[in-house]
Amino acid sequence: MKKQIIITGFILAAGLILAGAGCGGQNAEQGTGQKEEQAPVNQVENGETTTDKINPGVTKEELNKLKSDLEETEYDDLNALTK
Amino acid sequence: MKKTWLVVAVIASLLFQAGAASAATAGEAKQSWLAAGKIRITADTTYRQAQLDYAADKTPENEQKVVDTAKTVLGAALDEAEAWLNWKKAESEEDTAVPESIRQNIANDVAKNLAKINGLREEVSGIETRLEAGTVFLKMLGAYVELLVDVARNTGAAWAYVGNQRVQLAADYEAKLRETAEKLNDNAEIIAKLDIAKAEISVAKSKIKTAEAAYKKVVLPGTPLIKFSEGNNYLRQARENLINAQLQLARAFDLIISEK
Repeated sequence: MKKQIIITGFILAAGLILAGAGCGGQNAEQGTGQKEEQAPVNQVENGETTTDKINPGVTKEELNKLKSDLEETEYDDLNALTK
Repeated sequence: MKKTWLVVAVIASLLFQAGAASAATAGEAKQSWLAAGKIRITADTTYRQAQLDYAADKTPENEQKVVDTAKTVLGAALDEAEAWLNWKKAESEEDTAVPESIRQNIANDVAKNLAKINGLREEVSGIETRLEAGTVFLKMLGAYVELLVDVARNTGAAWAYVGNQRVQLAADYEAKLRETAEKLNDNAEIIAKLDIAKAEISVAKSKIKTAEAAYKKVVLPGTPLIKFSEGNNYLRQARENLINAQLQLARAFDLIISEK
């Protein structure tokens, strides 16, 4: 009988430990989940920051491309036969 | 397996070669034209010296030298014209920004005039006397311009078209930047730069229009090569105006970006 009580006690203790671990795991998971949720929030904030930045409607690359196209263009004259 | 690799390697090699050839065509053609021009100028100097030598000492040897050098300079002039036509053809084929109708006109004119060059080469090779050399030379003065005039006019039209496209692009950029700048509180400096850019773009547009008018006068009878040169000059000025405009646009862009 004493032996049965001890075994039952072990089982209950183990059950409690496991249950506790489970909750802890859940908490831990929830914690991670919160972090994961926070990350997108930050990203949204970052995104909002980016969106808040002034968009000039033109990119630096487009302006640089115009410059290089202009600089590369040459208009060569033609000489007459006697020049 | 080995065979498959071999086939793949051969195909890759062919594709690479084809790509390399088409990429270098217009640039190489231009270099050929520049080199042909130098050869023609040297040949012309030699011909003129032969004429002076003959004038000073009318020996049969000196007369033959006039004939030979005349044939050389005329041949070199035809080489130069041919190189220019080939360059223009390659350039128009590569420049997809130019409308198909202009490119087709250039291709047709080039084909027509390359055929004329072959006929003129036969006349040059048939020269035997100093008198014939003089006659063919005079004939070539007109024929040479005829060879180039149509392609020059169409080339001018193509350049003006591309110039107008760039004016439009610069004007679009200016409008977009201005729209953004007008929403900013502290925008006086930006607007001032955009005003300069707008003025430069406007001047460039006007100069391209003048260039177009000059290119339309690249016809015979007349002074087509001078008109071609005039058109080119206006386009060079327009290019400078657009470069100035781009500089102001870039500065305005930097100021807008640094606002936040």
